[in-house]
Amino acid sequence: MTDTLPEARSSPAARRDVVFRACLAAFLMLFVGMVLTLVVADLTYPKAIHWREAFTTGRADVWFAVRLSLITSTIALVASIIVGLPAAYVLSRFRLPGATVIDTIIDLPIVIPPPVVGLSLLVAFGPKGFGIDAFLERKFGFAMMYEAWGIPLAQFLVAAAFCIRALKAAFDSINPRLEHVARSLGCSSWQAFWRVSLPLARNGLIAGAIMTWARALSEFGPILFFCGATPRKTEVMPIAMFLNYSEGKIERGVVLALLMVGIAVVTLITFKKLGGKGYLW
Amino acid sequence: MIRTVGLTKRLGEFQLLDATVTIEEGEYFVLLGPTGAGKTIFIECIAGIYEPDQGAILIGEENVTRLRPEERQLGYVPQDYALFPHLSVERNIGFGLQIRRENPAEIARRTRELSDLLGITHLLQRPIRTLSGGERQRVALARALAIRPRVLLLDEPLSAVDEQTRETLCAELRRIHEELKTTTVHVSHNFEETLAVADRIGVIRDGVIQQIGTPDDIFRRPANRFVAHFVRAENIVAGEATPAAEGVEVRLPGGETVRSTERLTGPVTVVVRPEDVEVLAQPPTGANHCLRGVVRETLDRGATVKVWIEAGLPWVALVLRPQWQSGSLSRGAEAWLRIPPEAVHLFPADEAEA
Repeated sequence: MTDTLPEARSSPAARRDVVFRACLAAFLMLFVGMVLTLVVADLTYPKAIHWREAFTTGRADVWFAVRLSLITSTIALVASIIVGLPAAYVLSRFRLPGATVIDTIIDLPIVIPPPVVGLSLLVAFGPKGFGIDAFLERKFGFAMMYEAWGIPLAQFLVAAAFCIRALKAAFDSINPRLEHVARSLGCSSWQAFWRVSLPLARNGLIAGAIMTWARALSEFGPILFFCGATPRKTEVMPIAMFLNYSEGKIERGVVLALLMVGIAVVTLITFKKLGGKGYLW
Repeated sequence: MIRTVGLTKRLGEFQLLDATVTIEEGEYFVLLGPTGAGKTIFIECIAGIYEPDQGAILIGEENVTRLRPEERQLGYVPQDYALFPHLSVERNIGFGLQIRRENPAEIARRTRELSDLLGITHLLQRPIRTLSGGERQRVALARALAIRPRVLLLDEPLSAVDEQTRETLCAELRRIHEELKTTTVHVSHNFEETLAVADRIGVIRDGVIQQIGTPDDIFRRPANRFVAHFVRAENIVAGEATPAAEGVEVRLPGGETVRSTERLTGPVTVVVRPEDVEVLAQPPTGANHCLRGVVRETLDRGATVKVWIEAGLPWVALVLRPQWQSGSLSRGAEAWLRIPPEAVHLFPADEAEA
């Protein structure tokens, strides 16, 4: 069989397809390019000397901000999980009366402008509001307003909302039939949660927790309003960046910015890895 | 024995209405019906996943209606099998025993016994995601049987496997049932599958049970038009029955008559299975009762040939390949239909159904 086939006809439609795809991809690349430009701008701005100085000298050495950020956002994360895990499971599995209202309330802290959260906290804690701060001071001997103690709370409010959403998504992805079968095999509802749903949702839960933490770490507006921007006191990384910028120390601000970009990249990669990797055991 | 009394449950667009069924000890019962008929609700109510709106579920003499699933001691195999993807096959099978805190040696023994019975011993160490549909089904079955359930509940157990695997698994289900004698409730939308496994069948439509009977009852003596359609008794026509020798004679709308050995008279619905209709190319010798008609259409289905014949009314016949005389029975040819009186089933004409 060595018949020579007629030559394949060239296709104008195929050429149009290429143009179509190229046009669409151009928009995508435009945006990717914009983001990359910003990162490159940051990267090339501070010189080696600025990096060195940022960690060794000056009023607010960067280490303080990094440390405070890590501590407060981790506290916010733990609190978010304690509240978020049961809340997410309830939302995922049970039909609650007024579910849509509850759903909206949970999303509120995510959607409203972050400074609003801060101002609302200030109002609730302040003497003309509910006076919660004075109460804490009296009863437990510590205050939150304009104190570092307030930072985890300000972070928690937004991060917990995010956490509930992320954990709910993790539970939603677990087929409830698995729990039904577990129950029929003798599990109590508690055992079914513990032995089936929780281990299966594990990666989703960890991924959700990582994003919650990153969210808490990036909080700025609520902290600025509720805790203030006091050097070496409420100076988490975003606040430190803001303070340095206000004082004209742009390079130092950019060093902080780059640290936060670095953390964001690592958390994102971890998140995506966990999300796509399936079951670990 | 398991009994449901007036079991009623409405769940969104699905419903189960007043289902009263008694399933004997050791019986294999299949609830058969189209998608959305309420079959799954029936099994999920028995499993204890939903509490019924009304009615009761009794296992033996115990009223389990208000018990949680873990208090019922039932083996439940849902439609998608719901194997635990984070556990190996072995841990899946042993799950129920582990929850019951049986000792490890007993769990291993029981797991081995069931995996031998189901022919999945070689799979024990495998993760679930590597299993085929048929293998998953066996693992789910073994997991449900491990706890020595009082009743085995199978929700569409064969719908997720291919045609050939389904046949094998039907035989398998039957064999396991003969061996263990576990009372079984199986729901299915597939009529062939049902015939292959059931001791008794219930047919359900829109949440209402239409007929309960042996496979032969359902197959040959459907109680109404819906059941007749569902079991693919394709010749379903209205008629008027009058007494005759050895049964009745039924006058059909076209004026022809058929005979039946059943003794129902008055307005009736006539049901004849297509495989019971005999198609002849020549007029039969002797005084046999016959309908004369013309071949309208033939459809070659491999092992059988389906023939549509206009004989006053349109009739459908299913002819086995060796009996098929293709040359003389092509489209437009004359044909004679012989319908044996014992194959003509009657039920009272229902105006609502007409």
